[in-house]
Amino acid sequence: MKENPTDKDIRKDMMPGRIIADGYLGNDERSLEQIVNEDLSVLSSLGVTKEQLAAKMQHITDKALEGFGDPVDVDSRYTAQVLEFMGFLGCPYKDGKRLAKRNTYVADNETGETMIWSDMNIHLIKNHGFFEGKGAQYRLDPRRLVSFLQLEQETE
Amino acid sequence: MQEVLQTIGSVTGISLVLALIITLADKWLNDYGEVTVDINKGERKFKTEGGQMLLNALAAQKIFIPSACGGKATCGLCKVQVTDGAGPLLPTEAPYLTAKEQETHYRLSCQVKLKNDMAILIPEELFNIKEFIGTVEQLDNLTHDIKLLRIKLPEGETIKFKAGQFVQLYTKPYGKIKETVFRAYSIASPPSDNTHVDLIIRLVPGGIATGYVHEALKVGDEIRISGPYGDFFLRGDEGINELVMIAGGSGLAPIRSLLYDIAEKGLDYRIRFYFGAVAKRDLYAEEEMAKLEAEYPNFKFVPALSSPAAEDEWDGDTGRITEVVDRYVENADGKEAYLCGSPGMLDACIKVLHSKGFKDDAIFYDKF
Amino acid sequence: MEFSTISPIVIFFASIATSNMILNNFLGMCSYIAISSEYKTATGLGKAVTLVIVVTNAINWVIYHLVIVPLKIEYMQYIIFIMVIAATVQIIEMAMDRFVPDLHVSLGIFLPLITVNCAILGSTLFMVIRHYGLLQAILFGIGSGLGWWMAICMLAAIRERMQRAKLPPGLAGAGITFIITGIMALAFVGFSGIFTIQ
Repeated sequence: MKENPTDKDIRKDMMPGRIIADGYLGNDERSLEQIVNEDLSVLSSLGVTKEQLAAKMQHITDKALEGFGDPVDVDSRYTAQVLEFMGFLGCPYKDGKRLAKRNTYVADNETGETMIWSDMNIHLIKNHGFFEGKGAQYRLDPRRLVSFLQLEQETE
Repeated sequence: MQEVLQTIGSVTGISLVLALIITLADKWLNDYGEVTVDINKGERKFKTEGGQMLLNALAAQKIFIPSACGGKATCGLCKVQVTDGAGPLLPTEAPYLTAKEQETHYRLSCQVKLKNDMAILIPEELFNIKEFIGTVEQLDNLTHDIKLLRIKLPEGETIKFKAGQFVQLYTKPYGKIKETVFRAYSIASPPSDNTHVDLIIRLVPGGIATGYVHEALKVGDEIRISGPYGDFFLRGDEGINELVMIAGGSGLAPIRSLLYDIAEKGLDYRIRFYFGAVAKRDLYAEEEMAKLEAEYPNFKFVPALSSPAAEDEWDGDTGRITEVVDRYVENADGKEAYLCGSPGMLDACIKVLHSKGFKDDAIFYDKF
Repeated sequence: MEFSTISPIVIFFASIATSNMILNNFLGMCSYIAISSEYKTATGLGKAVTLVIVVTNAINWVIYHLVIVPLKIEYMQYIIFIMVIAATVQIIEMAMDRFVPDLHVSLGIFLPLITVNCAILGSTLFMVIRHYGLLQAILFGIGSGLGWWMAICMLAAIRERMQRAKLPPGLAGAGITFIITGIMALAFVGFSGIFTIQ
């Protein structure tokens, strides 16, 4: 698929060494539109919107922030911890948003499963439906994320 | 055939004559001789060829006035104060200058032509910004993820900055990173040592510049920096007698510079420096701070660990940095606060300071 | 009609009233529309156009009769005229900056603008087509310039008065300006019986 010029610019900033060392695309050769559409269709098949997902992630991060780097109990289900660094990163979609360099490490107390996301992940999912390319360091698989955050619609 | 040649010949001839006339006119009419530009009342003087634009003449002297449009009078950023020798205000400049600026002789330096000797005033900060190709003199581990990078400036070059300001560090391509990026780091050394720049850099997972410093850089390497920039420096307004300093992680850097500067100048402040870390392995510079405490009796370093490990044998303050600040800072009377750390820590600490009665104009921190 | 015998004085008045560059020939419209929203800048531009038309008319007359005609390269006249105009404007600007900086402050920014103003090339071409003598050419230049200056000042004055008028959004800006110009041109038709030079 042909990419429009703005997509090309965004892609450029997603390459390794532009905003973060490893970039956001991994070894994914698909166009941005394809990446976003495929992940969003997985999401909608699970009956979850990207906003719901981002809101839950933000909720856990906000709670964890209160711990200043110490593990915090969230909703008596997760143990979450943030690691923060100085400075900000600009969103590769050039929407003018600056994100704190902040990673949230979350463990599920019942299953022992763990996940990591950054503030950039939350922003990219919420505003751009972008879960990062396959093979990227901070790629979040929508199916796994939904089950980790227990957002599946039980009626399905 | 002859006609073609004649046409080509005559048109060429006419263009040639016109070009010649313009060149001669340019030489004769645009020759304003050599002019002298005086910056900040004699702080620096240079002679240059007349007839060029002030912005370009300054750039040739490595004085970089910010300009986004490249001299087309469309961005209005390149304002400087011309106190003498500028001539009348041009209609191209007027829209970018307020009435007050016009009164105080502000001009757009991209529109002012050097026709005679000129006296200008430019902000100290701009005047001091320079680019340096330094060498790495020292690269030490302070903690498991924080390094001290000491850069020696090239022979004969000095940096003039206010304690608390930052520089930009330019990386070179390394590993799979093919481009140069630049990131800002606060200067950790005092302004009195103007041939070195110390930076304290914490490794950020996925960080480009911090990865460069931690993994690719070696002692003896060349490194490019520019600066100083920023408005984080000691204010010490009227009636201020106590400074509250709060930092975490690599945020110690500008505070270290400030402390050395204050101690060297013998300024009379009661200073409390609250430093937050998780466990002892995140703590550094304690010896240095102890030395400062000895030299400067009014200064106290208060490190606080939020969850000391069992083997730390920690007998200092424990708790989150906000709790420690809340515990020790009683009110805002006669106090200014200087903060440096990650955004979440800053937000939380500012909230605590507000609750103690600190106004926004007494709280200083870098916004990058 | 034998143009070359018309008195220079008649040419002068005619080029203001009945053969106005803008209102009768519709030349120099781009800067006329673009720079006419404010009276002060409009009159600055008018002055600059007048000056350049007069000077380039005279120079181009000399070039035409002493260079182009003897060399029989009339078919190259457009290129040559444009080059001469561009060079002249350059030199005028430099000289002005050097000797009359105050005038340069008010006119300087317009000079590069009008290098490509069609009224200026137009006036040179009219002068050539109509076989004017040097005196006729100069007075024609002065008249054309003054006429252009007057027209843009009138338009600017009208536009300043209309600033607060409520216009349909589609008409605001260039739209209403063209309509005003059209009405002004109609008004100038009233002069047409007095004298004719084209």
